[in-house]
Amino acid sequence: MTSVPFWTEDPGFRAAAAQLADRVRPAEEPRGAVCVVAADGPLAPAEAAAAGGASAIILTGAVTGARAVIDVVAGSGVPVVVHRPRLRADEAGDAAIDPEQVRLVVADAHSGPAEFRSATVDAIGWIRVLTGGPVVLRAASRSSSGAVAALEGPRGTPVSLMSTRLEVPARAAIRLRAVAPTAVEVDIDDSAGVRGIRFHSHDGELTRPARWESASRLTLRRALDAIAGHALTDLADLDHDRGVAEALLDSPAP
Amino acid sequence: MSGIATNLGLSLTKATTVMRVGSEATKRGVGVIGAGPGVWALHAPTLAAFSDSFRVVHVADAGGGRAAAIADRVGARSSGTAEELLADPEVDVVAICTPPASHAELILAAVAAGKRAIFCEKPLATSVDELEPVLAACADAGVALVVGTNHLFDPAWDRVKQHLDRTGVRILSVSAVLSLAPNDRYHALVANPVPAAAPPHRPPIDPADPGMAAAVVRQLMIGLAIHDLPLVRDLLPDIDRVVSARALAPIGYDVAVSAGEAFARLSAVMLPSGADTLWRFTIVTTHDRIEIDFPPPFLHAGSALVHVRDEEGRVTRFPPAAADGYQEEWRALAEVLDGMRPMEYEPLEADARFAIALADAAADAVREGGPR
Repeated sequence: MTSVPFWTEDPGFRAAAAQLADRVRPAEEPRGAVCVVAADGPLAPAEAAAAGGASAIILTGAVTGARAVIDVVAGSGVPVVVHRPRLRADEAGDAAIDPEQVRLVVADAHSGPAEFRSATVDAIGWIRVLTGGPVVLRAASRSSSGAVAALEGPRGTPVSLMSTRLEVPARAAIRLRAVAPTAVEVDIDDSAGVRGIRFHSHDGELTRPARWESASRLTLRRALDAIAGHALTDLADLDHDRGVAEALLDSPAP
Repeated sequence: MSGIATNLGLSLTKATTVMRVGSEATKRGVGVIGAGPGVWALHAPTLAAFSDSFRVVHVADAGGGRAAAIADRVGARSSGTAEELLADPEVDVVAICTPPASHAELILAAVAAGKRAIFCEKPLATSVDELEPVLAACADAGVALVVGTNHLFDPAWDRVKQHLDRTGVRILSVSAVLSLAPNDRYHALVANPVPAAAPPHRPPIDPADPGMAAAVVRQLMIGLAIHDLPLVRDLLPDIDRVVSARALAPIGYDVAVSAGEAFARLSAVMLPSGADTLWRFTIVTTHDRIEIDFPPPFLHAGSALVHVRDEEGRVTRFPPAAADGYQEEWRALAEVLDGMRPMEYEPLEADARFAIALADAAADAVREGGPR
């Protein structure tokens, strides 16, 4: 197998590369390499990767990072993988449910002020996963305590989202339940170290096995797959999730 | 003194005194009005656990033969009308377990018949016009009145309130989410089946018909969300406005409201099959998240389970109590009759007014266009 050059200064991704040593090798420059770009960092590395001939770009910090960085990366024309540790592609697959059966999605996020927005964006991402597509904001209210919203997914699936901002520096927690004859519950709590996907049916509860692979290694593998031709929707999904969150959190108060 | 006591020109002290004068330790004869499967599954077994205080002496129901079937099993009389039951001198306590629209009328009839205590299934009344004469009648006659808001009586709720008082935190959001399995799944676990009347025909909810959707939401708020509305009122008594409200298919509701800087969300879906009932009440405060998982309805499975997740991710689990809310509401009635607990009409009035106002506001929101 030919190893792919990999350009990063992110310690987590260096570790991931070491765990995929037969598939990637360190690169000296962006050209021809899979490049890691921080959306919550300066613009220059993004421009260097986009203009420097990267083979693929991994975008970190994109849930709340600068739009300018995302725009530069999006305009590069190369595959872009968005690194979202709270919304892993493998776990999203684990939570797959027939959207036609979903009668309601109830989503809750709560966190301290620092992670309030990112928790809200990731909760919206999970809503998109469970409803099977884009959601539309129908009604909302926000305050210093957070926000509450009524949304609709494809086929008019009703969604209720409540995102609460604690006054203490707590890390994010997200919980969703897709109500259906076989319901699925997603439970992610960064402080408590909880990640769980459970299905509830007449036969009882089924808990999906834990995903032990590091989020960085998974993202790097997805970038390698993208170079090999696998289609990605990461940027469109990110754009959707951030857009709904901005409508909820930034639009003029009703 | 404010609220109901002022409105009714009645001193709370007087009402309390009336109840204490009425103390005695004898068994009370209970007359149960209504004989649906829920009555047989819920109140008959619950009362059996309080056989030192209560015994069912009479069951009345208009539905063909169901009252007799239940009465036979508990050694009671049966009749086809509430009037016959209220005329029975052995009936001290009237348990009103009929559809909500009849509750107020039956309370007034029970008071007029001279009964000394009433257990009324939720809701107490479906409108303010019904509510005021009901409370006035009970207070004037010194009738002990308990409304079967079983979650309010759940021992876990007391523990949660103690936790909130002790920590002094502020409430930021409240959520009550229900995913309901069919009731008969749980009836079968606590009682042998009794003949059930055919369920009323309900046309499917047509989201394009705001009038129908509004009526469904109001009925469900008054009849189902009512389980949790006293808890919501305890935490967020001053609701400002309905943020969104809609009816859900096959039947359910989704309502969000704001209360100052805080929010509350009430969502429920009834499903014809599938997973066990989920009944989760969540409180997020300035510092922690409190989850209360109530057992499915009709069961005697102990109190709700409570988990408190603090700001550092530590999760504390409150040990469940053996008693449940269904038992505790009957225990409360016995304690009022025994003079061990004061009869307070004010909270009953406040809970009922809160629920009616919220149901009306949610229905208005649906009628005016649903989510907005």
